[in-house]
Amino acid sequence: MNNHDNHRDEFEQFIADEVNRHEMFASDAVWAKINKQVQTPKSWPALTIIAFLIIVSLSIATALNYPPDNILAKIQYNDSVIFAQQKQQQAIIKAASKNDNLEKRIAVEVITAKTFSDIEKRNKASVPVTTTSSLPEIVAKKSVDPSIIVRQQTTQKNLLQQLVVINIAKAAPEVIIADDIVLKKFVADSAETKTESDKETERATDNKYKDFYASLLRKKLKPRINRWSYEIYATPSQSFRNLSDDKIRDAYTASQTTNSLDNAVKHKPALGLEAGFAIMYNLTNHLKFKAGIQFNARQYYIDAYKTYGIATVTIIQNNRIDSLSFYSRYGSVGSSYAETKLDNRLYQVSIPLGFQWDALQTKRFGVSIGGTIQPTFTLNKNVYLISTDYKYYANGESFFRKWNINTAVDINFSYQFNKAKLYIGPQVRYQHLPTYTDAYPIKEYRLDYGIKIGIIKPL
Amino acid sequence: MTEQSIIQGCLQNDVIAQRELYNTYSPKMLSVCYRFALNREDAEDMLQEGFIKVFTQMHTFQYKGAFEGWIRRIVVHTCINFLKKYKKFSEHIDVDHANVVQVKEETIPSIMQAKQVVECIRLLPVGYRTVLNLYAIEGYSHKEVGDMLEIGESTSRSQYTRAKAMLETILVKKKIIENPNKPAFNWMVAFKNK
Repeated sequence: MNNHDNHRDEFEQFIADEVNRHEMFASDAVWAKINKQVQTPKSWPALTIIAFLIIVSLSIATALNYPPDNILAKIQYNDSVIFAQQKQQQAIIKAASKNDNLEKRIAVEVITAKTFSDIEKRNKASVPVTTTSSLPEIVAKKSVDPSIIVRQQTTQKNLLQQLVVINIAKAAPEVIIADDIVLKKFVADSAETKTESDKETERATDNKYKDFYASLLRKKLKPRINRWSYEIYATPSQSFRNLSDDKIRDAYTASQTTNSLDNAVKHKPALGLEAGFAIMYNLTNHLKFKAGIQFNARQYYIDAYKTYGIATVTIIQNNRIDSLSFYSRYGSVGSSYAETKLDNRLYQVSIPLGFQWDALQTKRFGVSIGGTIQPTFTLNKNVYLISTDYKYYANGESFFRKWNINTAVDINFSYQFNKAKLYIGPQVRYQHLPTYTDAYPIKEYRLDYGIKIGIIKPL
Repeated sequence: MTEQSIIQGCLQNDVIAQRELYNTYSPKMLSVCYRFALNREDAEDMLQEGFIKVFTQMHTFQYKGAFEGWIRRIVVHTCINFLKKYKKFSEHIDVDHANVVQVKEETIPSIMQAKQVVECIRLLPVGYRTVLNLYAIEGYSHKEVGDMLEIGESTSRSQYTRAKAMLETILVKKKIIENPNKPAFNWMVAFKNK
């Protein structure tokens, strides 16, 4: 390039000279967009860290609550009985299935159409069914294996109504269904035929089922504990700030800042608001873990004067002094100029993560102490900072720290109303990192005092 | 901040150094963009794209030649790409168009002259203006201009000739330059007529 520069004629040279003298100034939005695009990829991965913390918290909470001991208690009483009966039947089927004998395997307490179809399938012939009012011969002679004498019961009561005998003594099995008269006699006879070991087995089985029913009832009676709850709150607050200047730059320059920062800056606290939502998990009866999301609007006013000048910000980098100049329309001194009020208002989104301890809890009233760490992202950057000679206020966008860490501590006085807990109490919120980056030598820390009002309800 | 410290700071993605670089060079670069663009908004968009490239490609600067020249080349290429991207570079117009360009005849104070020259250049059709900017002001050869704009070298020459003539006409009308074809004042003829 520029190989044409040396061959310009008079007209071309005139145009080039004039054009190169020309300068224009871009709007502030251009730098804001450039800065955003260039700086964004290197921003602190706070969202990733927050997401990770939430996932870890939920995993721990889930692990502590697993297996859920109230799952059986959720079953209604009737369901419990049905469930127990099904378990009993399944246990019998399981025991019977160990025997290869088909008739023993189907010796369940309920005879169904499938019972007969299975027998028919095995013998490839239909099973003759006989109904009788007299005790079948094989039963009367006690020549049949009791295990193949099966009873059919109704679904209403555990009463025997019919006796079904599957006679395997014959080549083709025969099913005999007896009526109530025979049944009573059979029950009496079969009781006689029972050996001591059979009775012992029955007693053991009965005890086993009694224990099972008892455990179900215990679980049903155990009160259901819900560990999860949610909280909605709002905190009107006053924002204060603390400024400090180490004046380390004075060691690098002859022109030192003589006036006091406190005298130069006149700020007034203003009303702000925090509002949020949190999910709480009861780690113990008194200690809750909570995580949520919170919106903050915090502001304060600065008394200034309308004037024009260059706001100089002196910075120290790599043991060298540098300065940046900003065009300013507001001065910190100059009583002869018109007074104005600068509003340093920030809109922020926070992720509060912390604990709440119920220090005192009666039936209606309680006192709890809470504390949260709040990674905070600031949505806007239109704030004013003071020049390092304390004379002018300049746009602080270039130095603004988008991510910050806040801590909030509160004491709540609560009142239990139905299932909800209403509370109110004082809160202090402190900003740990300076509002501006480390390059800006004057450090600003914000402090909010507020009254927290909220409601906690179980999920 | 020195140029060296600005470059070092930008290499470390230091926002202060980037702001200083932007403050130093953006006025001139915006003027460059403004000469290529149709309006100020486009010029600011070009400037924005250009500086993002400057910051992200800072590591490619090899201290060969002036730093400003390196930035300027990036910005000029960004402008050309912007015009191509948004198809604002397809305009061709005849030199006679200059005669119908509405130019108010006025005397320009010298302090405003640079601005007026820029405004006169912006009165040219986009195609002419781009060739003139690249050849007469940025110093590219016709071959380089042809390659950049994807036109033939001869087309670049002819467009430049027409652009130059048109600009000259406009500047004369604006009384920024004297009319080169105007005959010199003949005192003898004036005396005889009396």
